[in-house]
Amino acid sequence: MSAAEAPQVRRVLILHSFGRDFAPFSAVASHFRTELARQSPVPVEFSEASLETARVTEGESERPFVEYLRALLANRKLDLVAPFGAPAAHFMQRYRARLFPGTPMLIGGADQRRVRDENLGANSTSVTMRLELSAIVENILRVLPGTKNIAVVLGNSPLEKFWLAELRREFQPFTGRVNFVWLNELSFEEMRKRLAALQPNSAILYAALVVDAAGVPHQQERALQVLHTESNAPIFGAFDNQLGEGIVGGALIPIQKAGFETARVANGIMNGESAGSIRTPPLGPGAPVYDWRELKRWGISESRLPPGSTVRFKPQSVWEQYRWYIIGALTIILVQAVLIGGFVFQRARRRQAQAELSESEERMSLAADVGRLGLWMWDVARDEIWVTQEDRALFSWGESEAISLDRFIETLHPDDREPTREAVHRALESGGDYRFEYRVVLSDGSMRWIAARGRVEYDARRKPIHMRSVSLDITDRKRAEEALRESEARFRVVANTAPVMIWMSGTDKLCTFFNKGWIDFTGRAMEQELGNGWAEGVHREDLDRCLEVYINSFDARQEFAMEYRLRRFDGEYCWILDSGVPRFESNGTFLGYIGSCIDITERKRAEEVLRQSEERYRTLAETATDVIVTMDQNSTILFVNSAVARVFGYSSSELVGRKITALMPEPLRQRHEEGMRRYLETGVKLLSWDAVSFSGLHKSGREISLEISFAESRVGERRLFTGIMRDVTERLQAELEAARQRAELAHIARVSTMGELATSLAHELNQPLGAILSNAEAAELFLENDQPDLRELRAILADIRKDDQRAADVIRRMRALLSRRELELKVVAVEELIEEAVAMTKPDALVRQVKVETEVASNLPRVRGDRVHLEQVLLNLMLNGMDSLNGCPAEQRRLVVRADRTGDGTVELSVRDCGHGIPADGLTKVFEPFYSTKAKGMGMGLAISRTIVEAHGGRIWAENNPDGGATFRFTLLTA
Amino acid sequence: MNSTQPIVRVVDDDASFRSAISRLLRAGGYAVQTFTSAAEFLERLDPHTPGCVLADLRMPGQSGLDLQALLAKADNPTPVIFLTGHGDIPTTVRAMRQGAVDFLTKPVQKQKLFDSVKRALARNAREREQRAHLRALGDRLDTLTPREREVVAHVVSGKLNKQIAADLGTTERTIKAHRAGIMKKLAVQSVAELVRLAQELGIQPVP
Repeated sequence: MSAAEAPQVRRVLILHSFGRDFAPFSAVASHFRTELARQSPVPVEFSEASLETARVTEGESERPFVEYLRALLANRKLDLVAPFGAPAAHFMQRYRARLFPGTPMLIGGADQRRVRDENLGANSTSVTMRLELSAIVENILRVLPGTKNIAVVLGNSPLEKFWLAELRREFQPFTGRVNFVWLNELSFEEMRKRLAALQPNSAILYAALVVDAAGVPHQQERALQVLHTESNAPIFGAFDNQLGEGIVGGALIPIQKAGFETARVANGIMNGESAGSIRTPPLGPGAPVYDWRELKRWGISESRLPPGSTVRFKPQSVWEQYRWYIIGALTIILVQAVLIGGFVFQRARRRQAQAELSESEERMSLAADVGRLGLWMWDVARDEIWVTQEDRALFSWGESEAISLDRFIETLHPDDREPTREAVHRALESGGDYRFEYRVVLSDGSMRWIAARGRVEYDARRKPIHMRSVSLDITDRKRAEEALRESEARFRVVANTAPVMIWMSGTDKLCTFFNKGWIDFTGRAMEQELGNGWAEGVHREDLDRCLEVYINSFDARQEFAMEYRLRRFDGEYCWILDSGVPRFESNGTFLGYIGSCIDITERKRAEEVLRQSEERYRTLAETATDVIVTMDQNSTILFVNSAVARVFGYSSSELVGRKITALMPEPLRQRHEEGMRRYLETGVKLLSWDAVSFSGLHKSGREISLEISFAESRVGERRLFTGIMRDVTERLQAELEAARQRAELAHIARVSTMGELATSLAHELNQPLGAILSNAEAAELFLENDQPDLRELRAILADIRKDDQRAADVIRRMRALLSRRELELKVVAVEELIEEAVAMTKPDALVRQVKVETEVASNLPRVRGDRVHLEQVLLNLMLNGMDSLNGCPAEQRRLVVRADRTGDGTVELSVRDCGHGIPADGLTKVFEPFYSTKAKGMGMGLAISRTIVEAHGGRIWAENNPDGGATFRFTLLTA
Repeated sequence: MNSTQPIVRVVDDDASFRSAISRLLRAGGYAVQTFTSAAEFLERLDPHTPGCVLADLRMPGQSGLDLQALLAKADNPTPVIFLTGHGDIPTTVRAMRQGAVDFLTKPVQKQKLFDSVKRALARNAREREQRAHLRALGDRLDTLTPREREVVAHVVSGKLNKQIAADLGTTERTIKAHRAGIMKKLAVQSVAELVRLAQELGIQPVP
């Protein structure tokens, strides 16, 4: 069992919609098959079946086919089911659960209109195509703007009926401009007749022909070939496999790519990817491509083609390449003939003519020599070859030797004998022009390459009489080609081992080569990159610019360097620096371009960082208000920037040449001069040169606050001092303002603390007042006695004085808290601080039944601070603590106020409650303004406490106690 | 101390105020006793001495209100006057509802204080008298036999001797004899007087 688990082979069922040979599905399926077999790590066994019924009907009489499949695939575990085309896909969707439960499905070759992702079903995915129907018509109208009629070739199967509706719908916008002729109701025979006699200004759209109206199935693209031969109008198609078969061209669906893409997805699924999770975007038409022969046939100028178009099947024949030699040779023959005529009929001018003849012969042999051109003629019936002396020389034949075809063939290189003989026979059979190349082995054993081009002449009964030919020695060209091939091979080796990415393109701008570095980088196949394929990897945002640079440089034959993002094999886009240079042959013929690319992602990233920091710097510099001043050792200003106008009121030019002391208030000037002199003599700096606070003198005479940094530099013998002066007047004012606002806030907080304490304070004050009144009234009563007890009265008066003092103290404390005042740092005894705060909160503690305990360490050092402010902090903490005890049972309501030394020489005060504690995230937030857990809290108390403590150089923080409740601590510096 | 002389008991934790107020009360002719806390007061309380309590609302430990609640539960309720530095409305309402005689705020005018104290003492005297009377009646009721008490309950419900005899399963003559004994023991002259007495003593009529 375990051996069977390691799959030795993968089984794939390809289900065709119509049959194995129906375009375009079959082409996609065939590429799919080839590519999957190539990619798969283990052999793939393909089973294929065709849903023949789809030609006639969809969805009916399928039962027998289901049974057939069941029988076919009995006991075979499939790894993938791949229906190609919509009919097969729909069939599979209906029967998959019954036939192949659990087998993943991959739909290929169908248009996205026919296969909806949401209808796929579980464990399925699709690689669809996206036909751009209206773009096809637009293309026709672009290359043939005069088109009035478009005949649409379309069959009559259910699938084609679907497309008929789609085409009609999408072609709607063109009605009025073009008249569409729908041929779907016709048999193929009728179609052929119609298309052979179309009106002028017509075009044919070969949409699809699977089954014609007569019910005849049409396989492959044979119908297209027939129509191409017979029709009198250009044919347009939709798929790139039709190019070369008779269609003019346009933006076509890349069939091979569709097959490859489908294979890639299939391989992924069989490697374990979940089919359901794969979503492949539909494959749209590629860059426009045209058949040169069709363009010529229908007189379509290449200038009409859309930008970026490629023209294929352009002949690179011997005729084209050596056309001018041949024309030259034939011209000479003509001239010769004329001259000979002149010789016969103009005796009088014989001598001259003879001279001219010899001259022309000379010229001709010169021409022939240059081109190594030979002329010959084969008399077919007599099997005799007449050749020029040049040809005899070329073939090393004797001057009067009779040459038969066999003799000629004999002279050829053994490998070329049969092909040449066949070529000759083919030429005789098919007639017309012919051309071939062959090698001749000369008597000295050397070998020459000959290119021959000629024409067969027939008699009235179409029997071949003569075969005329021009032959040309192309040995040098062949050698050059070989050398080129060799050098190209060498080049490839170098290119492929180079650490950079290299590409080459031909004269048609299409890329012909990518080195291993490039292929490794993009992770794509060479075939995918060739032509314009590479552009698919360029980032969409960079593509237009990239193509523009390439095309413009190319047309101007200029070098270029451009940066763009290219997709790496892992899908990430990397920045590439691509440098291209035109290639020329040694004689100056343009060959195309060669370019090299390097990955500059890192550099780009660094550039971006730099750019950002430069931006920041520039913004800073533009808005900088710092004065930059340079002076010499005599304190003469050499340079000052324009910011000086804003800070000091002087313009730069007013100051250059003056002493720096002009910017200083009187008392500083002398100090500066002394300090400078001392520094120049001894090198001792009187002051720090880094961010010192100074006063400056504004032009108006007003003093301004400055922060100055200085640095010295030497230029030869000269010593220069450069300073940066920052106007901090505003900053200082802002700081003062902030301090004032802090004080104001603290005051408000104290007033609000007073509000909280109002009850307690009333009690506190009424207690002595009550005692005073009672004592006074008691005294009055005692005085009514005849013999008042004077001792008692004295005691009363003493008590009254004491209570009065007590009331005054309460009022003093209140006034201190309510007053608006600045921080007054004095030496404060912590014990007194705590005593006072406890006294002030005592009535509150009473009402709330809170037991306040104090634990003050003995011999505490005194601290430096403002008594009222510190009391405020303590009061605040204590009142907060009491609030937190509200929910606790009375016997647990304890508040402990402690004071102790800390290790670092400060005194720490703490208020510990045993209430509900603080939520963990609130431990730091409680000190933020407006943070309050109390319903009536202003949320300022602790924020102000922190401001106060920090203004004292201390620290305040909160902790939750391990046994419940919270402790607030703050530290104070000792005096 | 003369047991008939009422005493004003001052409970306040503030020593200064305590001595001032007691001085004033003494000058006004009252006997004064001072306590520093509710606990001390309860410890030294002599329930038989008439008087009133003058207490601060806010004190450490038990507050004035706690003290009032405890006093209300005792046999011999002593009237309470509150005297406080600052009283809020909820506390005042609670104090008055619990039967405080007055609620004064410091500083307090002599006259206002004396009026309150006088009222409190009068209330205390009246209540004491009433309680003494009831206690005397109760003592008389205690002399009745259980059978006589049953008869009283029937008599005050207005039943005739014959009905009572039937209810209690005895003769009309026996009931008559019981009634005579009851009238004599309780020192009442008429049935009407007996009914009022029964009401005062809380004897429920038989339904």
